[in-house]
Amino acid sequence: MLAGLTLYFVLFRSIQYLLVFLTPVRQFDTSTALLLNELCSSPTEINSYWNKYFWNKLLAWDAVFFIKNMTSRNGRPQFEHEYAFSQLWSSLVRLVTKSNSENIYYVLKVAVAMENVLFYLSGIVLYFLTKKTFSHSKKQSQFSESIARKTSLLFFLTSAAGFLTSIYSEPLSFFLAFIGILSRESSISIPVSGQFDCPWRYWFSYSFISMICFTLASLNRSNCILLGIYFVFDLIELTKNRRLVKAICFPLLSGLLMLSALIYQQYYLPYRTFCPQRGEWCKSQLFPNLFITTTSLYSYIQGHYWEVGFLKYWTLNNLPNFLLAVPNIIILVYSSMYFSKIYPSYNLKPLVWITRVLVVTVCIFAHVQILNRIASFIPLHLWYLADRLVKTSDPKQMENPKGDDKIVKFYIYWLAFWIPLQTVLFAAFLPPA
Amino acid sequence: MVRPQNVHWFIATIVFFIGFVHANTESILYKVPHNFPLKKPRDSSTYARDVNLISSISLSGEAMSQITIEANTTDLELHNTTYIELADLQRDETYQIKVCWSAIHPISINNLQTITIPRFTEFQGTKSDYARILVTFQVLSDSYPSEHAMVPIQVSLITTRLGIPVDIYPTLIVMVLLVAGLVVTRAPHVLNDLLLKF
Repeated sequence: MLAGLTLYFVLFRSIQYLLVFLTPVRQFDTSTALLLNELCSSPTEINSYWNKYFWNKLLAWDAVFFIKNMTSRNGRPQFEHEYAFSQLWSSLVRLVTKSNSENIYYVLKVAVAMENVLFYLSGIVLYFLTKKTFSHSKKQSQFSESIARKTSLLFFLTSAAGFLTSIYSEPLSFFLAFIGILSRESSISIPVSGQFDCPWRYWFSYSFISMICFTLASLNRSNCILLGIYFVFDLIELTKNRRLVKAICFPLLSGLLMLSALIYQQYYLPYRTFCPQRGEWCKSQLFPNLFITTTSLYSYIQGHYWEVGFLKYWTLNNLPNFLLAVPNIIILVYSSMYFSKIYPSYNLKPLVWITRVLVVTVCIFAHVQILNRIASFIPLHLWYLADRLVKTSDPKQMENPKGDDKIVKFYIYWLAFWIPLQTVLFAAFLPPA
Repeated sequence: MVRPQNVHWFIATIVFFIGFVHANTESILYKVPHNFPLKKPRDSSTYARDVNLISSISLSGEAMSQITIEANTTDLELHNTTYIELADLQRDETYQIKVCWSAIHPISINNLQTITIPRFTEFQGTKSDYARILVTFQVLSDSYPSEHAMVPIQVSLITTRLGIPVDIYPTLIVMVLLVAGLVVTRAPHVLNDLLLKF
């Protein structure tokens, strides 16, 4: 299994990096040259063969903010809006490159290597998570093995794959989210006939490992805050079953610790750094002399600099961006319906809710096409695709698919075009990557 | 086989998306009027005293050209306008004027437009004996704290063919070949089969 997955991972990534190499050197957005002139003092180094034809092309879109932070002298953002880009991911790369963190190409190469390692490891963790989730009996072990293989392979074909050739923070969140979900899944007992429970012997893996992983994933990418729904779900279930002490010691404690870390990052630190001299969001204090503001720094940055907000993206000129997100919207919505109505599964309930909340939030508040990039921290849609692929074992059946299988086929066909095109678009610094 | 119609739609879609670029690029299209009194090669250029007062991009014999300027973001808006002369254009041709800056400098480019200065008219301390086409824009700091620095900005002047700037043709060709390759090799079908059998 591992050999097969590793082989395909290397194959897919090699094809993508070959496409980056083949993309013309002159990018649509010519600002990478300006960035390199400022961050790298040697024109000879910038124009060396491999830098010119390969590495320079990976410094497009948000990679610019990450490389700036990774190579800065003090490792702290210079401007307010730069706080929107994961400090955790930049710090991790700085930690690895500490002796040489001002050499842009060295940092870039290390960060790209770390990106790929994290992406690969996430797929492997997802394999074990899928096996754990779908194997309730020995009878099902064949099925869970098959669905796990397909899920991990589909994960390597994520619709974010183009961005993941560079130095984005997503793979770190994927890795932490999957470890956290796996740890939580291993710590609970699923009621076949009995009641939902969290055995005491699993307190450490639930309240420490899961909590730490979900918290770090959220500090890295704020959309992972939705993983907290696991704690809310478990709290409700344990309370309903009158296991109040466990409800306090497992999900409530974990949830509160996760919330505290997020309040510290989103409210306390920004307030201490910028207020009151900043004005603007600093003025929206909930209570006098308290650092809690009605608008968090992250929300303010998103709204002020990138016009993210309630229905702000719903304009005619953004119609193409909505069209880009349609395949993932469909697959996420169908997966939540599939695992709640057609094949309802008790242990997938929190994930169904996380998926629903993510889709609704992104469609209403955010730049909707980012769904293609961020959705993979939730494995539900991958499980839906893999489940249908396992159940449609006869390839002839897939030639004239019906219902769900038609959607699955359409999505896979879309991925076959989207991933290579997105890779070229990203390397060419050309929208709509 | 890839139908030419499909390729046409594919290019049209890409061009459509380019029209909605945000991030750190601003661009406009400018068509030189058919009766515009363009400078002839034998004409004298700006007066000697005007040299270096206004930067210029020349397209003599080239399909595209670019310059890098440094703009000050510390001044007030009114005093912060950049002017660049567009030289050696052709009548009835449409050009793309693209302004790019690195996202490490949080600025915004406002009022990107072209203006025409009639001949013998004094403008920004310069005078010329031929009519001039200038691109103008304002550079404003868009961050907290405000950046007080000279920000390098690249301004490109690009000829268009079939309504598409020529600098993106190589990328479009790669993408069309890629799509054609995917269709010819039946890549979606192969991927589907791989997932079914894996």
